[in-house]
Amino acid sequence: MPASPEWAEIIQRNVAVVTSAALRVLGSVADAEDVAQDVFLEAFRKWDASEVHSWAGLLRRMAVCRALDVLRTRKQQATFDDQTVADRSPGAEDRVLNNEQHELLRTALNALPPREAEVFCLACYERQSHQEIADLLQIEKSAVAVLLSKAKTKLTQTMFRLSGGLR
Amino acid sequence: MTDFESPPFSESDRLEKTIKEVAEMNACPDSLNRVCAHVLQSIGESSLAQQSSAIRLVRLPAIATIVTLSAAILIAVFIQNRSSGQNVAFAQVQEKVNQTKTVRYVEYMSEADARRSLAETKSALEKIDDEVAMYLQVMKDRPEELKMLLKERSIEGDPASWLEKRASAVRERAETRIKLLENCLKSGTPIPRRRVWIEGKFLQRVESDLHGQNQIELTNAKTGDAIILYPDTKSGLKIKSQMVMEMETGKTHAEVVEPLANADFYARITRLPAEDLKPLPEKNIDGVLVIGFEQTVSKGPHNFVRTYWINKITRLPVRLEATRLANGEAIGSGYCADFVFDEVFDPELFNMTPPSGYTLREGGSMSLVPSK
Repeated sequence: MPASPEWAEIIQRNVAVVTSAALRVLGSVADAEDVAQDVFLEAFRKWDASEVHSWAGLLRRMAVCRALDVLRTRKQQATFDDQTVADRSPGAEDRVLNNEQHELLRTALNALPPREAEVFCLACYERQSHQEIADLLQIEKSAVAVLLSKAKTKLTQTMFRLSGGLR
Repeated sequence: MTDFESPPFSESDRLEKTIKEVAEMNACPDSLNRVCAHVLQSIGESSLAQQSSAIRLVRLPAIATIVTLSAAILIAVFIQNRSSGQNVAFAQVQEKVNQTKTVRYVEYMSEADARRSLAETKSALEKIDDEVAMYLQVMKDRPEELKMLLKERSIEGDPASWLEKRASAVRERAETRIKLLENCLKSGTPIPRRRVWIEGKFLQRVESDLHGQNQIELTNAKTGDAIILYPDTKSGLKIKSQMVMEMETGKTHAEVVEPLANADFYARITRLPAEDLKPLPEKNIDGVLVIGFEQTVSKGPHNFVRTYWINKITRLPVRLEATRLANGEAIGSGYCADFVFDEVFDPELFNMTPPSGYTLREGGSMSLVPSK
């Protein structure tokens, strides 16, 4: 069955939103592409092209949720000592340049309750307003603020702990 | 990442900075094209009844296409290289490097990185008090974690005193670091990050001292053994395992650290795919005529550009440069230089038994996994 022109347009219009949202959560191009494909195929199975008013919002949220699911299945690496641990990455230059903080944040994000992680990603990575998130998740705007605040506090504390506290 | 590369940040600043960096990540056009192609192909080729496994259905033909295309590209590159001869030269470099028994070199930081590091360290120094307050709050809020940390680090006595002692040490190290960076920048002296010795392609010694605390990392790539020595405090850390913690329950267990195939430098050079290299014009580095090879590696929104400068006569590396770019802007760079090959090293350099008087403890990395 060929993709209808409507679906082709939906995919092309939103592929950047969906793939980038997954990439920010996962930090891996290959995993982000897999998530993006799953999201579009799931949407294709579930909805008719004319059925959804805002595809961007729906697909973005689906991408964040699926990416968080994938993140939870991974083993996240983080240092946990007050002194430096041996770096076992394969390249000296990469070792110098790679940003450990991104991975620490992903590890900390992984430890958050799902709803807090979702709100955090939509607000901080996807730059959605509290009202947009509230509409998307069908919760009160004030609840979004509370969830976001909790998430940031926990992330700060977890990152602090994982990076070994004061170094 | 070593202390030297990661100055003590205010934690909330660190989080905001990291969020900002991650939020700016965007999938590259190639990635978007791949997703579009796969999804449209899946929708187009699968019936509605088959769509639950559409990805798998499409993967096999997609992989077959990639293999065919890759073979075609490799043949084309091979034909092209035979006429240019450039990659044949790099193959000679790989062969020459592989023939060496030892190497030592120094990793240096770029001036831009040094200036960035200086600014970050100064900022962090101003915020240490806030960080102490935050740590005290964590101690108050999470007594179970505190108990675990105290046990893990063999800390006895009042945790607050221990914290203040740690904070003083961090202040001192930050001040030392600022002084050293300022002096090097003022005099134009290259700033070393690490000094590296490799014996037999698998024994590696790395010394670093810029952060005010001397540190020696010894690793055996074959066995996976690793140890870090801190001569200033006559202490050491043996990396034998990684701790795995279940998120919800906090239960921990140890897993063995997997060995690597080769030490970093040899793995980097010998596994480099010659077809990825772009030849650069010859130039002179410190009186040595060198030929250049450039490699660009895309990792998500970031590009890594690595340049290998090779002595035209000996076919051995003279200088390796690496730059990380985000949206076309360099956000980190460094280089390795001062290469000396086939020097006879004192075996003591790689002795993993700490000198007498050292206290050694076991440590490792920590993984967080979902509870079973």
